[in-house]
Amino acid sequence: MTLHPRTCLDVSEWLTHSAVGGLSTPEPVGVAEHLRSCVRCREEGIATGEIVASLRAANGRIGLPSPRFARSLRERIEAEGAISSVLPGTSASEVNVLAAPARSRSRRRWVGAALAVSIAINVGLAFFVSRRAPQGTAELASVDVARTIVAPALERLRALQDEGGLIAGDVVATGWWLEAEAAASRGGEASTADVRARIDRARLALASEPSVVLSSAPEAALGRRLAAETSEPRERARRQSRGQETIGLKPSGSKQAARGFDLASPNAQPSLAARLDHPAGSPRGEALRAWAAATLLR
Amino acid sequence: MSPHQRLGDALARFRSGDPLAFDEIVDAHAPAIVRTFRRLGADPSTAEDLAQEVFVRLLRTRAAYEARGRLAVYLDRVARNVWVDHVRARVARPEASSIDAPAASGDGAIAMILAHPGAGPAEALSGRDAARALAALLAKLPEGERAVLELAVFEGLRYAEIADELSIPEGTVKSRVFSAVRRLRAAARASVDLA
Repeated sequence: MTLHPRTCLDVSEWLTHSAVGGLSTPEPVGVAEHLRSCVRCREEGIATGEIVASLRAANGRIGLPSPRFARSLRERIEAEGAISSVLPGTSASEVNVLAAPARSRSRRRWVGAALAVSIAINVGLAFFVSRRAPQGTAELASVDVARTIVAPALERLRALQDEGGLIAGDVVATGWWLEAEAAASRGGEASTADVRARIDRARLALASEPSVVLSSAPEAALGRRLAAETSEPRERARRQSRGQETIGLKPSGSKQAARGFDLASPNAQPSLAARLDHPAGSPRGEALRAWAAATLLR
Repeated sequence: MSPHQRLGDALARFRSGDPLAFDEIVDAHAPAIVRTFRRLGADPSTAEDLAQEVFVRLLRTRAAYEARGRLAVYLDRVARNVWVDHVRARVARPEASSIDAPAASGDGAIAMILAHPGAGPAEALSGRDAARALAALLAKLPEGERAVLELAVFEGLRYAEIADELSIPEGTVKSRVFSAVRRLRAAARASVDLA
């Protein structure tokens, strides 16, 4: 890798390592300039980032060990006498390496009880909030929290919009942005549940942010949310999005929706195919590409 | 204290005979090891059995283990040895069916993964499908490329750390990662073309 990449191969290589996150060196001079002028490299950057993100997401969906894993392991070790083999002159029962002492068990019981209470409170709160009207105090409180959480993302989105790049209020992009933020702040990947929670908060905040013009995706998502609370969801969403950018929004059941292209879904995340399907030069396609390039360049 | 430092501390205590340290190590590393076996193609039950075998081996060999590098990488290597032993045993006993059937062809696998890049639990691939699809996808890579890619992408290791752990130049790590991602991108393109 040269310090001043000039060729597409240099830039492609750097984009790959940036997406994987394995480099400790700063961005080489010239990458941003190259990407601004090279559509092909921007496309490559998007595709590479998508693949790495997809690998991480798929890996995150693989289930954790069952709750009885540790217990089974203890039983197996005791049965095989593995402990006595590493500590000569002692038996498994004497050493009991894997069995937690009484103090620890007691502590774990307290932790378990606290966890159970916490879960119960959270479930109760979630149930309470879900039954409130959208303007309810509980939801407003959530929006306040959400505004704090998504403020940096909104700022960035607005800046991108000023540069002619991104559609303000695109909740999908906001979600991805937050995912990247979370990953960067933790030095690792964000869990799917965490990202989804952030997207939900972002959606709430964006829906109540008067200075943001909502694009079709969050409008439709908002419409779907309203579907559970009003009797006119589709019509309302249609009215709200009338006259605005609608590229990428397809009715459920369409051919593209069947391919994972349904941006009206509350879980909307355009697939690689969907993004590549956007015609070059279309506002939304360009916005998504600009967002991806900007994210990769951070 | 960072998670890595905590684990280093747990390992030191484990080696000096602290009984609770082993629990900490198991709690911290079991998920990654089970996922490694799932990505290699083991079904859920077999993945847990094999993960237990990894910890049993760690326990047996702790006196010989040199805490030079990351325990995660050491355990990953042990896991791959355990997997090789398992596959050999399976070849010797073909009636055993501990390996998940492939999700689809390789192209089908990447299509499955890319079609659900960030969906929620209800709409996403099931854990079983994700594991099978990843196993089919990563099987496309040469072992050397696969190893560094998994350490970088799934374990979050920096290239310098991977180079140190695997005793290979950092430039080799970079070229393997680049090559692996290119292969996957080519598979993705083929998958999109087929869609």
